[in-house]
Amino acid sequence: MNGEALIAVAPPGMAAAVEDRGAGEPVALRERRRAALEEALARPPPSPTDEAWRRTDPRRFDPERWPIAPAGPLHAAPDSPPNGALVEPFDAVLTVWAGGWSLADRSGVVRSRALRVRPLGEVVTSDPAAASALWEMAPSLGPRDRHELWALALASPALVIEAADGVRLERGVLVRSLAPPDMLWCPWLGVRVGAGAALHVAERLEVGAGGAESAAFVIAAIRFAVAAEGRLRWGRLQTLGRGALEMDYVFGRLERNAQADLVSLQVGSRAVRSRIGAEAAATGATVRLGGLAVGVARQHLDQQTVQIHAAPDTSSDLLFKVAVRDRAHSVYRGLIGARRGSVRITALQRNHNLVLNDGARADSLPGLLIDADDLTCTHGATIGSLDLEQIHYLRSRGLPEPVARRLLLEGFFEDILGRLALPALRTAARAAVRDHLAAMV
Amino acid sequence: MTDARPLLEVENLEASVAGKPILKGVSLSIRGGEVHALMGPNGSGKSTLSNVLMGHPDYEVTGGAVRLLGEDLLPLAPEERARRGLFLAVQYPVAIPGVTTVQFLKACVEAVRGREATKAAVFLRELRENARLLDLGEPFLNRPINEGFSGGEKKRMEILQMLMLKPRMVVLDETDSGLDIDALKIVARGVQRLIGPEIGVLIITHYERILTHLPPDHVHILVDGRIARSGGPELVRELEERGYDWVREPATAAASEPD
Amino acid sequence: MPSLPNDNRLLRDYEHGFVSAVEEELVPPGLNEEIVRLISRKKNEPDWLLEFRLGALRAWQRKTEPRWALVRYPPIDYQSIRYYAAPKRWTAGEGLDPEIVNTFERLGIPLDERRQLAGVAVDAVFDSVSVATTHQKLLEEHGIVFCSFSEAVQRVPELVRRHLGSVVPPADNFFAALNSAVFSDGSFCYIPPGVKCPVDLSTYFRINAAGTGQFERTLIIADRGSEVSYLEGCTAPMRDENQLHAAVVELVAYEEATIRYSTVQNWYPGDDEGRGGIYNFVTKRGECRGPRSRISWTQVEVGSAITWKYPSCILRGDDSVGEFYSVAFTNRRMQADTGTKMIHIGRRTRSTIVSKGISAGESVNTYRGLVQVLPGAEQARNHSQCDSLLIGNRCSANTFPVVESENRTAIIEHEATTSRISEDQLFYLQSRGVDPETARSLIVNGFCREVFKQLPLEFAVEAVKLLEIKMEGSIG
Repeated sequence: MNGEALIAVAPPGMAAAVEDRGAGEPVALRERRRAALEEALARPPPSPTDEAWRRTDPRRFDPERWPIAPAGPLHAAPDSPPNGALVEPFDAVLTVWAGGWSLADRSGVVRSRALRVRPLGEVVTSDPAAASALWEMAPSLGPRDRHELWALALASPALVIEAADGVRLERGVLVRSLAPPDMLWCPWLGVRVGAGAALHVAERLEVGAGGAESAAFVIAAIRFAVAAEGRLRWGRLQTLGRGALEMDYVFGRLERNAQADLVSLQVGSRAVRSRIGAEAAATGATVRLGGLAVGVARQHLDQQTVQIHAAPDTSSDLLFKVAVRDRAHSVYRGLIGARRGSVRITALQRNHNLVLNDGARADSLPGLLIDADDLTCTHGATIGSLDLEQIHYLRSRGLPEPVARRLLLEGFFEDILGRLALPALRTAARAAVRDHLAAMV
Repeated sequence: MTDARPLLEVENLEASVAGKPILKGVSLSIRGGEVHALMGPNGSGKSTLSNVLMGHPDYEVTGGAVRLLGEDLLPLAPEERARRGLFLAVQYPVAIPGVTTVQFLKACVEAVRGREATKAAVFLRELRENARLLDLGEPFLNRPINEGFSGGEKKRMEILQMLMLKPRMVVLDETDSGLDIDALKIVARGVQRLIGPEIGVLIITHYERILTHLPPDHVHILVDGRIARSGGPELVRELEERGYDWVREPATAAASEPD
Repeated sequence: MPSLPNDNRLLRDYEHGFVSAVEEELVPPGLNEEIVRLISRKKNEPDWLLEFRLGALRAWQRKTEPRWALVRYPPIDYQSIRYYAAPKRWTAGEGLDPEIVNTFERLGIPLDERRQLAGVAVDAVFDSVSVATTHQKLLEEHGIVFCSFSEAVQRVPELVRRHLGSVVPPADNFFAALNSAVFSDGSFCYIPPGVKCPVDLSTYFRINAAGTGQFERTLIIADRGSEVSYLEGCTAPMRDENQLHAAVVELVAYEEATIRYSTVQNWYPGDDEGRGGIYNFVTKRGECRGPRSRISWTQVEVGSAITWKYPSCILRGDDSVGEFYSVAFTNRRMQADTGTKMIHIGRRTRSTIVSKGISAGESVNTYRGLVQVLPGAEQARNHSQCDSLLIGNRCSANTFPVVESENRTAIIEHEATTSRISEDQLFYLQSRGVDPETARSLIVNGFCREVFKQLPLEFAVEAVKLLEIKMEGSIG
């Protein structure tokens, strides 16, 4: 379908926004945006009776009710001073906002070409196969989500971070994603880790301007491609305000002996629906996934994880922890998929939930979908509350009950925070969790 | 020899668990500088007494009184009791995943002894010194408390907490059970370090073994929720020779015997 | 007429695959109000029961057949199924056809009073009707009602009326609605207050007629403080066509009552190419209606082309207990989608789930479960253990548990593993002189032990033997 035909059938402004984004891009990318929009339009909107949406009302995530954030080079960065303590230790800081981005090369890694950040359009021209692999990357467990297709069609900025073969960027890149208030924003980020390279990426997602309570709707797509023997450590702290909606489509693919260590920390937002996962696509690949989510008030947290094993001798290890209080509702859905022929694999999946008061709710749906025979898959899920014996023990040592509870909660999350590679991110995350918990106890 | 006022007074204490009476009128009086031993067969109520003293929520006090330095303990929350100087080395120390020993102790010491005591240099020096005394190496301090610790390590960790919190009244609930002789000596060494004219100690035990390392001034024998007999250290030997059956018979008469 | 596949291995594998030459009375195929009225009339049913059926029929007509992501089968033509088949001599009141007695004899279930099984009272169901119930005298002495469903409607209509559909409402799901409209027969059981049933009660289901569905209905009521153990066995002849079995089982346990319900399901699973076999779409649910009541489901599922069943417990009474123990073995092209639901409503309710799935050949074995703790279920506890064992590399094992908690004081633990038989274990056994086939079967038996030990002894022995037979030749 051409641009005009799409304008005729798409929701008001949607097709124009797609055309607007595609204007300065190579034809191949523009066509892909249109194809994504077309596919999204062909699919019925999600309904509360769909199995995948039974626990999360899709009407809360209706992109058509939001104005679309502007794209293009004309828009200035939002006025948000970078957090000094968090910025300090990184090799480079990439700031991304609606309509623009900037890169601070703090230790000369960009100058030396160890690290490159460029728009997806440029990658499409210089390395079409790599661009296509990133764009199309998905868990392939069925047709793609309508929301994910919106996010592809409207992707902006669409950037790719590349670590050259063999480089080791231990201090890594900080990505500051600043969502525009009161708009629908679909940032797209590709990460390519070269053969034998090591890269750390720490991402902080927050609302760029306006108060903590300001509304925003973010549908973020993040794709990783880790080449043979490469290593990626990625951690993401989401502290959008209480008025925000957030959807994530995070997926990566690992080649031979590659490693990925992904940690998601969900603290903010009124409602979250995220899917995070990776595919061990070649022999020896190892995936570690960690997640932490804290729900208060009427927050709704719907998180899905996907561990796909498509090659022999691969392993994955997942730990997701959730605490809910007040009227918050958490839904965790986990899936381990083992494709035929993926022999000698080990897959672990653990989900632990704390329900801190009556009225809060935690659902856990840990799933195994196994088509291979030579493997060991284990999943475990628990739902419970803080242990009364532990509380009493702490009180018998002089700690008042609220302090005892806070300490136990911090301890509950500590192993997830421990999975964060970068101390700076760990410190920021610990503080964000503590702030959120301080309001919790 | 010390303050005339008793440190800990237990008066006709009655308590039950899940509606079942366990303590049926226990009385004890412990002064500063005294070491008391409470012995008794399984199920006699020894651990109930320690849990009631600390205010465990599963135990219901149905009668009697407990006073620490003259103050009524029973209405107080467990943390209030700890802050007033009561320490219980529990029989089954609880693991707290994700909370390191240092973090844990810092929070406790601050709550009980105040912020001054947790100033980095002072606190760490004191902690390392005490840990060394108990043969607990540096790695223990950075591991989540009691998680994956052996039985003996857990018991030594209890004593470390005791030394750090500097209580006035210490209750050791079967701290000796499951310890080999070397670990027992270490535990005794830790308690000896604390003992002084201001401090009261109540050792709850099955065996006389710990009492050779921490000789008691007074010995009480608890049978079926009542103190069946009280006396001096000689009671331990007598018990060893004659067993608990011997104390069962004249139960009520001995209960009111003065110290 | 159906033909028997002439394959020795298959015959050994499915030794219940014979057809009995019994003259049967059949209703024409198809489902409409007329057929429902005809079934009701044949059974001389009261008006309220006819109304129950007609309501269910209307609900069924409004419903669409469910589609499950991991279960595949060609569309079922509900108008070509015969909804009633009964042995002629029986309906004519001429006593039991000797061929039926023979049939059950071959299945190991003597109906003859003098030779009947010790310790088990059996209700034998042949196609649409219950043909014999043994041990009647002993049961009557204890005030226990154990008879065919049709007989119960005549003997204790009020008990039936009060409980029928009270656990599984007629419009609950597509197959429950279908069953409620056309159910033919089944077993009814009532244990009076304080009575500990002196023998195990049992129903043996046999599908014989071709082109017939079986839609039995079972209702068990355990009054205050009573106790009963109930066994269910199923077989069918080998036929090339698929046959539909859509049963409904309802259990009601009042205050301090205990019901243990055990099933060994060995319906014909179809041949190597996936031809024929039973579609086993069953709704089983129990309600712990009174405080401290207990319902325990144990199932050994080794047959059927497709199994779709989730024996469930509604834990309404305070301190009530629900249990689910399951072994599901699939081979060839079999598909099993089974599991349980534990709905915690009352305070301090407890549930245990132990599910063991073994997949071989090109089969698909799926566990699906729900543990739901509602806000009032203070201190509810659940522990689930779901393990899958894979044999060969063309089969699939899936696990989809759902755990929901809306109560702070609830503690729920779920664990699952999927693995294949460990080479180390095999080698260890082989190094002790055990041949690989025996070694595998030993390991699988060990894997299922926790479930087998829940079964009454003779049943457990039977189950172990059955699994061994099923395992033969399954090593790919």
